[in-house]
Order: sequence, then C-alpha cells, then structure tokens
Amino acid sequence: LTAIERKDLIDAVLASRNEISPGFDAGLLGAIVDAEAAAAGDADTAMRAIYAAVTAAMARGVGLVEPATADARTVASEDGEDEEGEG
Amino acid sequence: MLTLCRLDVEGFGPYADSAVLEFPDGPGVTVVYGDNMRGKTWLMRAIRYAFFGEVHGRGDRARRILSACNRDLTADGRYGFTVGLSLRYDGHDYDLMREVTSKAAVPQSDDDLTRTVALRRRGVVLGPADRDTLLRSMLPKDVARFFLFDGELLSEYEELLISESEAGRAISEAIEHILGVPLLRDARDHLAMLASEANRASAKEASRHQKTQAMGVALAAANDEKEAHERERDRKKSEVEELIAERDDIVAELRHQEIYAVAVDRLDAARKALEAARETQAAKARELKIVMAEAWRTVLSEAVRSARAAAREAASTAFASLLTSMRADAIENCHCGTCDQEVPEHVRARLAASLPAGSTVFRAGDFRGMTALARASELDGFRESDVSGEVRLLWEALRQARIDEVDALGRIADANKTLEGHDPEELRRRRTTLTEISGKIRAASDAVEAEQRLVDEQVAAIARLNKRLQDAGTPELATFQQRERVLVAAGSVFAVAVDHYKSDLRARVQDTATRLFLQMTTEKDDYASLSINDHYGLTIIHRDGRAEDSRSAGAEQVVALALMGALQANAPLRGPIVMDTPFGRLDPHHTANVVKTLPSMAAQIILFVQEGEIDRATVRELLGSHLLREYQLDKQTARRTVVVEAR
Repeated sequence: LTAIERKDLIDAVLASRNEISPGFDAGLLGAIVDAEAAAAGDADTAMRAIYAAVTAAMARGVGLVEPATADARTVASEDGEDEEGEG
Repeated sequence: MLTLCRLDVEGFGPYADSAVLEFPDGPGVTVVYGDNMRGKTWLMRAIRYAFFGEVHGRGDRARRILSACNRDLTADGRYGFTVGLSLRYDGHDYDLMREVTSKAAVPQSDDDLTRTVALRRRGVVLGPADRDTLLRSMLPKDVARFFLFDGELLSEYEELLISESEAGRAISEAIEHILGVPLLRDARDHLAMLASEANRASAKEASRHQKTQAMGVALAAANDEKEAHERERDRKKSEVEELIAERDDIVAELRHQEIYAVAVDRLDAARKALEAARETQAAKARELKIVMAEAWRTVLSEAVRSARAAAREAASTAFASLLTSMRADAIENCHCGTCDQEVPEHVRARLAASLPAGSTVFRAGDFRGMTALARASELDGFRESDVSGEVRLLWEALRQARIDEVDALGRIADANKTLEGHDPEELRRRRTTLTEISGKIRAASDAVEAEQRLVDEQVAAIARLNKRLQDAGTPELATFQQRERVLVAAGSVFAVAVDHYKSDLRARVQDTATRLFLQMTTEKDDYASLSINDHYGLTIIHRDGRAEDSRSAGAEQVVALALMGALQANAPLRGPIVMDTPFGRLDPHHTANVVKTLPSMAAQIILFVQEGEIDRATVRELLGSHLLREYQLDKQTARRTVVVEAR
C-alpha cells in the first residue's frame, strides 16, 4: 500500500468508527489495516498480526474504559505519534 | 507496482524464431505496429501466457495450448515454444520463463505437452509456493482484464450498466478487487473468526472454575453448535455458488446456443421454402408444357392469316380470269360453254367491248382457282390461339421459383455452416438442466437461510451466556472477555467500513473517469461528466443534466477506456496497460484524443496497433516525448513474423 492508499482505507475505517463506536481506538484500526496489507491475502499471517495488534491495544487499555473516556483517549491518540505504529 | 521490461518468444504463434520486445525504463508508451494477421494478438497472448500459463483468444476465451505452437515448426514435427518475461515488481527484478515441450511425436491434446515454469529473482529460482504467491500478487488473474485487454473486452463494460447482469456482477467484483475492497472484507472476516476463537477461549477458561463451570460448558456447547451450523451454512453457500456458476455457464452457453437455435429454425424454414420452390417449379413446368403444346399456333397465326388471305386473293383472281376466259371463248366460238347456247352477234359485240385488252382463252390446266380455294379452305381450318400472356406468366412464376430455390439453398448452407459441429438436441438438454439447476439453487438458498437462523439462535444464546459470565465477574475471565469485546467492536467497524470505502471509491473513480472521458471525447461541448452506479457502470451525463440513454459503440469504448484509466489511478494494484487493437470502433478524432490521453492513464503503456487505426506520424506527433519505442511486425511468410525495432 502506498501512503495515499493506506490513508484512503483508514479514512473509511475511521469514518465508520465515528458512526458506530466513536471511542474505539484508532491506532488499533490502523494496525489491522496494516496487518491485512502486509499479509497480502494470507489469512493465518493476517490473523496472527491482528491478534498481536489487539494484545498491544489491550495493553494500552483498549476495552477497559468507558466510551466517554475512550473518546478523550482516542483524540489524544490521534494527535500523538503512536497512531500508525502498530501492526 | 509492476513494470514489464522485456518479452522473449520462440515457437509461439507466428514467431517461429526468437522474437524480442524490450520495453524501455520510465513512464511512457511503447507502440507495436502490425498489419492484420501479423501476430499483435499473439504478443498479448504471450504476456498473458507468461503470467497464467494459459492461452487466451480474443476477449477472454481460453484456447488449447497446443494451438499456440508455430504452424511452420509443427509442419516439420517440432512442437513446443518458450515465453520469457522480464519484469520489475516492488523494486525487484524478475525473470519469468515458461517452456512447453511435447511428450509425443505428434501431440493430439494439451495432455501430450510438458509445461515448465521458472521465476528467478537475481538469478535464483524461487520455489513453487513463493513463485505462485508472487505471481498472484503481481497480477491476480481475475483483475488481469484491467491490464491486458482488447477492443472486445472493452465492449463488455456495458454490462456494468445492467444491474441484474451476471457478467456485470463478475466485472464489478473484479473492479472491487483491484481497488482494494477485499482488504477491508478480509479484516472484517478475520476479526469475526478471532472473536469466535476468543469466545471459545472464554468458555474454556470459565469451565475451569467451579463458579462458572456450567456456563463455560454451555458456552462451549453453544459455540460448537454455532460453528456446526456455520459450517453447514457455508457448505450450502458454496453449493449455491457452484450451482450459480454452473447456471451462469449454461446461461452463457445457451446464449451462445441461441445462435444455433435460431439457425435450426432458419434451417427448417429454408428447407420448407426449398421444397415449396421445387414443387412450384414442377407444377409450373407441367402447366408450361401443356400451354406450350398450343404455343405453335400463336407463333404461326400471323403466317397462316397471311397465307389464307393470299390463297383467297389467288382464288378470286383465278375466278375472275376464268370468267374473262369464258367470255373470250364465247366470242371466239359463238357458243356459251355455260348455258350451251349460240351467242348472237350483238351479244358477242357487247362482250368484246367489256373484255379487258389482251384477254385470252384458258388452255387446259391453266385454271388454278380451285387449288387456291382448297388451300384457303385448309387454312380456314387452322385454329388460332394466343397463349403468349399465359406463357409469360408461367415463365415468370418458374423464374421466381428458381430464384426461391437458390435463395433457400443459400440459407440452408448458411444455417448448416452456423450449425457445423453442433447438435440441436444438446440445446434442449441444456434448457432442461437449467430448469433443474434453478430449482436446486432455490432449495440450497432456503437451506442457507435455515442454517443462518440456527446460527443466529446460537449467537443469541452465546450473548446471553457471555452476559451471565460477565456478571459472574471472575478476574481470570476478564482478559478473555475484553479481547472478545475488542475484536467484536473492531469487526463491526470494518463491516461498516467496507461500504464507506466502496462509496468513496466510486466517487473517486467517477471523478477520474470523468476527467479522462472529457479529455478523450470529441463532444466536450455537449457532455459534462460521467456518473457511476453501484456496479461501477458509467453513464454519460449531458450538459443539460440528463443521462445519455443510448450511446454509440465508439462512445462505449471511450467510456470503457476512461474506466480503465480511473481504476489504474485509484487502485492499490498498479501495472502496465497493454492494449491490443483498441481503436477499431473509434473515428480518427477520438483515436487521436485517446492516444494523447494514454500517458495519463498508466505509467507504462504498451499498444499493439495497426496503421489503419492510426498512422505513425500522428502517433509521434501526439505522444511526443511520451513515445518511448516503436516496433513493427514484418511478415516473412503467412506463418512467420519477425519483430523489427522501428524507432
């Protein structure tokens, strides 16, 4: 994926997140896109990478916080450096 | 990014000897000129063969590999060929080589051929698994149509405007593939699978603790049942897909066979027409024979009339002469031969005064009056008859029947030619099979829905058990449940993202296609844009805001080329555009506009073209510095072509 194509895919994912679960971790969603892109259709590789990304996200506290807190966390995360670093 | 560097063929199509095309580095256009039958399409086939090991005809129809062997070489008993393709992909150089040799002295089918393939990276041959994965990544077969195409393939994009078209659906799926939609779909599916695994892990963990053991066992059982129903549902789904594929094949075949069905009808009609024409000919010939028996009378009527008049005239003259002779005789002999009395002097004087000068007495045998009378009488017996009108009508009918016969024979020959090698009975059998398959599809689809309902029941049961486990709140379970929640939430986001992404893509493809279309169309003052539908079909929008419902074949092709360019511009998968004789439907102005637009459609363009479509001087002028190289295909014999670098 080029940077532009990755951005297109992640934009679509983030737009969907804002519709259904605004507090959800943007870094994890980006990492899942990267995991799929890197695996290039290899399901086992993709799932292993996603599992690792979820584990990393859980270590950051994803899934343990209430939506209101999650919103604030996501905004902070999107402003920070680590947003695209997973996967 | 895929770039072609060099193509080597030998023994392939008309390329009996080694032929090489080198594609220069950098963005631009390589043009290969060749007259009809010189082997442009064979070069396209060679590129396709290098990637997929299959030989395709025009459009996308598969051909036997044996058919690719050079005819001159096979005439000498030499079967086989090599196709080599050097390429660059994601920064690495590769050499792809496919070779075909024959196991038999005279191979009868592809089974008699041995095929080998080797993909080298920096001279090292890759293993079969790596090779196949890499080749699939470089150019997935189901999207190859967007990179390697001819005019015929371009014309298929009209199907995208027909929402219920199966062909359109298949193209639409291929478009989504090239545009990267499967990445999001895969993520959605993988997240669902991982969530299911996490739930199983929760159940296992719960069953290890006394407090939650019963719920854990129930959860594991619910998961087992759910997965069993999912497997059955998926099995049925595959069955439906296979049936649909089978049905589509039959529908396509029947569509193809419809030509033969029509030909059978035409054959029957022509045979009837032939029979009727021959019967008419026989009947009219019989009638003509009868009429012609009288026709001589028509021919002789005028002559008989003349002869009869002449005979009457001769008789009349003879009798007048006889009377004169009798009067002369009465004068000369003083005796009337008619009444056998003496003729007195004063009567003779009166008779003499009434006689014409020079009147003489007939000698015996001089009188021809009776002969003439007899002839006239005979001729009176001739029955005149005018059958010319009747004969004319019969001849006309006979001539028409002969024309009908020739016409019917021609139609029979045409129908037989169409039907050559086909069995009309097969058509009926196929139709019956189609009906059966449609029934099976309905039944299998119902089964899929039934299994899905059972899956949903288990999903609801699992949700209830999860809630109870959560309420039980053991710290050991929390991590498992947290993982599952995260995976389910992420899965929901990706499920929605698929539609978001597709919608964005459609907007981007529409914008790029509009830009390219307006560059290529000659109707810039009339057309404003292209509008995309859910299946990526493009409609021309007039400046008055209305859609152009009917468009010419040329406009269709320009729209299809705009779609090709738009897909290249918006797809994660990028490569060369290789076009074979794509301008057949375009007028010179459109052709020029398309050529001018080519460099903005893809980084590497390879164009196989005949100079009848566009001449070299025009191409050079239109492309300028974007024209990287020109080749020309020269004929040696009908079965041998050589590649010559022209510039």
